[in-house]
Amino acid sequence: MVKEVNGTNVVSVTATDLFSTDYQVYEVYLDMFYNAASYLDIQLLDSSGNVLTGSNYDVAVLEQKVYATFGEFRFQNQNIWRDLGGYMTNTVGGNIARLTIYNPTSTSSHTSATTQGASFMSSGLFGVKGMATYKANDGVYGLKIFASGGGSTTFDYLNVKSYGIKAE
Amino acid sequence: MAGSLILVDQFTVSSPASSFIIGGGSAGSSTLNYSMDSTHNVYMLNYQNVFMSSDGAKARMRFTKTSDNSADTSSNYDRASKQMYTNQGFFNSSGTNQTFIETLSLGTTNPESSLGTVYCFNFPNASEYSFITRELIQTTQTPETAGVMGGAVLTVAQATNGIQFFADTGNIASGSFSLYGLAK
Repeated sequence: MVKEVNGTNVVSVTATDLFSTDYQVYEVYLDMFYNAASYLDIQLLDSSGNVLTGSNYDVAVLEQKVYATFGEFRFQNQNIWRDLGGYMTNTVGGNIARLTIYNPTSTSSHTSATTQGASFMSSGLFGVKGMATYKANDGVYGLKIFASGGGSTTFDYLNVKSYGIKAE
Repeated sequence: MAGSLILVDQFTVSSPASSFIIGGGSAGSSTLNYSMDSTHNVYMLNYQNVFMSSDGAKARMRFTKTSDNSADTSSNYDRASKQMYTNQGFFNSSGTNQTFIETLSLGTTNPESSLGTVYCFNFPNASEYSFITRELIQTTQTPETAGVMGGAVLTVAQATNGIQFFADTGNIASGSFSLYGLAK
């Protein structure tokens, strides 16, 4: 494990130094409980911990709902990754996600991610499977994780664990 | 050690090649000559930066037979995946009784490439079929980017020991490949 960041009663978590040049591929595990209805949003951080705000974020996510038709969520040229952790409501189940991050610190190729996640809505299970790209070669060293609703609504907890893919 | 990844083969395309093999015993393209065997129940292949020598070419896959380390070219590959595009509607892609595992076309310059993770199941088991699951991110020569999420199977009860990548036209120009065994 490279780093663990835990937030309690926070509106966001800024997790720096999740990635380094030691590995090319990382697994990031998220475990959270949010107190309102919102998408999980993610922005990338540079080596100084600054948010990369350019319109370089693309996503494509299949939303797998037990209570409705599966949905497609996609966009291009935005300034966030949205829905990689699915949709959150303040129901007991909370939500979780696993991201595989490729080439985060590279300055010669884009940063990409695949995701699987699940939350438990009042209507039932909401799963996601998808991917995302960041179309710039800035070098990514961390994640800012927050909710699309913004404001002062908090996560009861938001835990982040980053693992480098290391061979023994 | 339980829960560990054991690096068993590693290959970087140093010059354009029409095909190469990860694992595959003595036919393998690295110097390690690793054969996927029952040392591990599951293998994980991670690869990145796969570019082609010509726009629109594809980097297809086949499995290699443990019996002679050659690629199985029989019409017994089935595959199914959800192709998740960032710029258009998703669609289902599948095929049966094919001679290879199909993928999207790629390009020659950044970001027109492929990367992802492939899990290999039952490869050493001679009495069952060889399966993979794959989570890929591929950008075409257009460029359009899509996630390719799904699986494939070689419907032959035989032991397999590697994965061949081959270009449908021209060469695979680059790529780095790491094959891991999941520790029992």
